[in-house]
Amino acid sequence: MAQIFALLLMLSSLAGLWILLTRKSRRTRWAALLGTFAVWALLLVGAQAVGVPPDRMFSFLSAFLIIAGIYAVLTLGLNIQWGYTGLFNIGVAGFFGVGAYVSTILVQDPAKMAVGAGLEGFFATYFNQPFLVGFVAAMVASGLTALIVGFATLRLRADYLAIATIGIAEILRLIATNERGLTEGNRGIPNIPQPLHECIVIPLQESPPCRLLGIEIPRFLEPAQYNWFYLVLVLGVIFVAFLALERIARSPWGRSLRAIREDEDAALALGKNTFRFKMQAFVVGAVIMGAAGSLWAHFVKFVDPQIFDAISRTFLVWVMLIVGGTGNNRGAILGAFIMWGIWSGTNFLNDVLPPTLETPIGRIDVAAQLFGPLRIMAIVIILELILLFRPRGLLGEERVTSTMIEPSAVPAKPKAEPASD
Amino acid sequence: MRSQRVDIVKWAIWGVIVLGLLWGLFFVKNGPQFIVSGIRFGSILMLGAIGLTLTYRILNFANFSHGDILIFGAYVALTVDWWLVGQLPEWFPRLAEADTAVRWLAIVGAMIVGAIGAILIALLIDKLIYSRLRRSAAVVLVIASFGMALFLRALVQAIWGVGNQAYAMRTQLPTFYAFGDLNGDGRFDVFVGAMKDLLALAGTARPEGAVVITMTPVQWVTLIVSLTLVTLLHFFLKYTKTGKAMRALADNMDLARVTGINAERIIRWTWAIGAGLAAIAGVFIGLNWGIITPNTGALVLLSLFAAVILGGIGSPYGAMLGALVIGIAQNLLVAPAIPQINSQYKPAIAFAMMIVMLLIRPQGLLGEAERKG
Amino acid sequence: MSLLKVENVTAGYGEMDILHGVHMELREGEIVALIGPNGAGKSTLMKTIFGLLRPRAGTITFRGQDITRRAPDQIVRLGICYVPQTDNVFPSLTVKENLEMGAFILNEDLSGRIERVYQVFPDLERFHNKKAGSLSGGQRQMLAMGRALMLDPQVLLLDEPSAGLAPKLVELIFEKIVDINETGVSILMVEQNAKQALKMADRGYVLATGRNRFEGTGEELLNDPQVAKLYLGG
Ligand SMILES: Nc1ncnc2c1ncn2[C@@H]1O[C@H](COP(=O)(O)OP(=O)(O)O)[C@@H](O)[C@H]1O
Ligand SMILES: [Mg+2]
Repeated sequence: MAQIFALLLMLSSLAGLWILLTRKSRRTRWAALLGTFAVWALLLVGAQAVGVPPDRMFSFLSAFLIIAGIYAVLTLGLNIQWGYTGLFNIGVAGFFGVGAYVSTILVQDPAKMAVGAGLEGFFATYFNQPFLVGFVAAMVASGLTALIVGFATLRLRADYLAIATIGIAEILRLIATNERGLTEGNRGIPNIPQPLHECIVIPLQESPPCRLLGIEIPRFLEPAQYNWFYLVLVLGVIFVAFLALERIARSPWGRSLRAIREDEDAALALGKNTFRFKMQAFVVGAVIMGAAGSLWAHFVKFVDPQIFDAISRTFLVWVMLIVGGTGNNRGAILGAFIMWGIWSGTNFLNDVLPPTLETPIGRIDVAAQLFGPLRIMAIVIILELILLFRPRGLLGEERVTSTMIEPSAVPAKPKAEPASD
Repeated sequence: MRSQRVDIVKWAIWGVIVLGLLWGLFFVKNGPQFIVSGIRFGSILMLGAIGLTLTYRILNFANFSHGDILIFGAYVALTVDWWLVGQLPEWFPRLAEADTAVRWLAIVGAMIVGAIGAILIALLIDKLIYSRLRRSAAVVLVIASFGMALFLRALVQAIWGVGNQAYAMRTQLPTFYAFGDLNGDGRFDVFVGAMKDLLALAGTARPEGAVVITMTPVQWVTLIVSLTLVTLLHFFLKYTKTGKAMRALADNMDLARVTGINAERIIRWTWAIGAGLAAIAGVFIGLNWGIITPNTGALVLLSLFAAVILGGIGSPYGAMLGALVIGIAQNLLVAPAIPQINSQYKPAIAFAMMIVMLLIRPQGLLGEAERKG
Repeated sequence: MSLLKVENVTAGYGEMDILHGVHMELREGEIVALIGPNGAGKSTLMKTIFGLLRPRAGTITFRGQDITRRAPDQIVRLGICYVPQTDNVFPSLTVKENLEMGAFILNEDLSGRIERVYQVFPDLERFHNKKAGSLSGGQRQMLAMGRALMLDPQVLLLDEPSAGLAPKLVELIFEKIVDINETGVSILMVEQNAKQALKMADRGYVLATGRNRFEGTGEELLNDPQVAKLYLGG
C-alpha cells in the first residue's frame, strides 16, 4: 500500500517537473508547481486515511528527489561535454567517484571510523574538514582528472577520448579497491558526515550550541526532516549549474562549442583554437560531475568502489541525457528525473516477481541473478531504439543560442548527409 | 622536418622497448620467466586485439562491446566444456579411464563452440544495430557499442550468474626449464624436467645464476595455438581473396564497392574473425588466470585498447606488436621488478602506457598519421 | 546504338540537389567528354550513374535496361567500370593486389587479365610488388585505369584522369584512353583539360551548375564561340 502511494508521489512529481521544464508560460509553470504540491497534500491525506504513515512516504519522496537531483547534476555535466561540444565521455563514473572519494576523505572525521580501519598506507588519515572544503576539493580533483585525460586525447579523434575516459574510470576503481590506506578498499568508508547536520538537527541529548562564522545557529530540524534541507542544497546546485550552462549556451563561447561539435574542421578553419575550447568544456563538465559525486557521498553517507559502476553511473546518465535530448539543459534535468523514476520504480517489480524460478536447467534466483541484468537489458534496448528512431531525444535541442535572434527567426537547419564518402 | 622529428620519437620508443627487455632479462630477478609469461599473455591479448583493430579500421569505430563478446564466447565455451567432460566418457567408454584426455578434448570442443557462439552473437548485433548505423557518425556507433557491451554483460550475468567460474581443466604441474651451471661443477647445464628432479640436481628450484623458466602444458598450448592462429590470420590477409578484399575495404570502403566487392559480406567476415579470435582469447584467459567472471571482458578490454593504440590503431600487425609489449610490460613491472605495484594494477600499467603513447605518438608504432573524423 | 543513357536525372547529397534534370547519352564505341567548371556536378553525375548516389528523379538505362537504383557491385557486373576522381587506388595493397581487386567479382585465375593490363601499362609490371600508396600521381592513375580494365568492361567512366599530372603524362594518359577505346570500350570521361578532351572525343557535353548547357560533337563544341569563351578559357 505504502508503495502505491510512493509511486503516485513520484509520478506526480515527474508530471509537475515535466510541465515546469517544457512550458514557456510563467502562469502554467506556477500552476504546475502549486498543482504538484496540491497533489502531494491530497496523497498525504489519502495515505493517512488508509493508515500509511506520512513520514515514510515523505522520506521516500525526499530521497527520490535528492538522488534524481544528483543525477540531474551529473547529466548537466555530461550535457556540456557531449550535448554542447560533442565530447564523448563514457567515464562519467570516474569523475563522479573521484568527487565522492576526495570529498569523503577530506570531510570524514577519523573518530567516526571503526577502530583499526585504514591506517595502513601513507595517507591513512581523514581530515575532518567542513563540507564546503570537501565539495570544492571534489570539483577541483575531478577537474584535474579531466585535464590529464583531455590533454592526452582531445587533439585526437573522438574515439580516443572515449577509450581514455572508460579507462580512467576503471583505473580509479582499481585504486579505490587496492589503496586501502586511502579508501578502505572494498570495505568502503561509512558514516560520512553530512553538511551542517550537527548544527541544524536537534540532537538526542543536549549539546552546546553550534556556531558558524561567529553566529549561533538554532537547531530546528528533526532528524527525519534533515533530507529536506539536503534537497534544498541539491536543488541549489542544480539551479546554479543550470543557470551557468544556460548562460554559456547563449554566450559566444557556447556558440563556439556548438560550432566545434557540428564541424570541427570548419571551426578550425575559422581560426578557432578548438583544443582549448574542448578542454574548457571537458573540464567544466567534469567539475560539475565532481560536485555531484560529493553530494552523493554526503547523502548516502557511504562510499566504496561500487561508486565507479559503469552501468548506474555512466550508462544511466547517458540514457538520461539522450532521453531528455542532448544539448538541452531542461531536457537533461527532465531525463534524469524520468529515468531515475523508471530505474528506481522498477525496483518494485522485484517485490512482485517470484524470488526463485524452477526451470529445466535448474533453479534460478530471480531477485539476485535475473532481475538486475534484465533491467539493464531493457534500458539498453530503450537506448538503442532511441538512437535508431529518435536520435534527438524527447525534447530535442533548443535552437535558440543567441539572445539576439527571435526563436521564430531561426530556420530549421537542413541536415546534409552524403549517401557516399 | 616534422616527419623526421616523429621518426626520432618512433626510434626512441623502440629504444625504450629494447632497453626494457634487456633490463627485464638481466636485472630483474627471474626476469626471463616473467618475459616468457608476458609473451604468453601478450599472445592472448593479440587474439583479442585483432578483432578490435579490424573493426576500427573497416567500420571506423571503436567497438566497446568487443570485451564482452570475448567473455560471452568464453562462457559459452565454459558450459560446453563441462557438458563435454560429462558426456565424452559416456559416448566413448574407452575414454572413461583417461580423465586428462577427456578434459583436453572437452576444452578443444568448447573452444570451437565458444568461438561459433561469439561469431553468431557478433553477426546478430551487427545485423540488428550496427548495419543500420553504417552511415551514422562514429560516435553514434560508439554509444551503440557501449550499450551492447552492457547488454552482453547483463546477458552473461543473467545466464551464468555473477560469481567466479573455471573450466574443467585440472591444475597442472609445471615443467622446469633451467639453463646455467646448475650443479656447481663449473659447466653449463641444460635441464628439462619436473621440479623434484631439479631439486635433486641443484638442491634448489632456482639455482643461483641460472635462468629458470616454468611452463605447464596449458601454457604451452596457449602460446602455440595463439601464435599459430595469428600466423594463419597473416596468411589469410595476405594471400586469400577475402583477406585482400578485407584490406581493400579497410583502405577505402567506397572504392571497394566501386570495384564490385560485396562490402557487407566482407564486413561479416571481419566480425566473424574478430569475434572468433576473441572467444578463443577468452577461453585462454580463463585457462591461464584460473577463473572468469562476467566483468573479465571489460577489464581485458582496457588492455586490448592499450595494445591496439600502442601498435597503431587500425593496423593488425600493430595490434600484435602492441599486445606483446603490453603483455611483457604488465608481467615485468608488476610484483617482480617493482614489488610496490600491486598485481591488480596490470590494467593500469597498460592504461598508463597508452596515455603516454597518445601524448608522444598518437598514431602508435606502426600506424599511419592520424586522420581526424 | 545507345549504350548508356541518362534522362532527366535530379540528384545530390542529403537534401541538397546538385544535378537538376541532367541528360546524357553514350553510344557504342564512342568517347564522350563531359566538361564544365569546377563544382558543376560532373563527378556527382558519375557517382549517380554508378549507384553511389540515389537519384531523386530521372532514369539511367544501360542497353535499354533500367539500372537507376542498382548498387555499385551490380553495375560492375553489367560491364561498367568506374575510375573515381580521387582516392582511386587502395594505398596499402600492392599494385598486383589492386588489379586483382578490379576483378573481384570473377572466380577465375586472373593472371591472363593482369598480363593484358601490363601490356597496356608496362610501368605497372615493374612495380607490381610495390604498395600503391608509394606510387607517383601518374602511376596511380594508370593503376586505377588498369584496375578498371581488369573486367574487360564495355563502358569505362573516367573522372578527370589527367588531373594533377605533368603535361607529358597527360599526353600519355590520353593516348592510352584512345588505345583503350580502339579495343571497343566506350568511354565517358570528365575532363578539366577541356580542349584536348574535346579533340579526341566523338561528342561532348557541357555541364554548369547541375544543368546541361551545350552539347554536340567535339568539333562543334570546340568551334562554338560561346563555349570557347565560357569554358575553354578564350
Ligand atoms: N560528398 C559531398 N557532400 C556534399 N556535397 C558535395 C559532396 N561532393 C561534392 N559536393 C558538392 O557538389 C557540388 C558538385 O561537386 P562535383 O560533382 O564534385 O563537381 P565537379 O566534379 O563538377 O567539379 C559541389 O558544390 C560540391 O561542393
Ligand atoms: Mg569532379
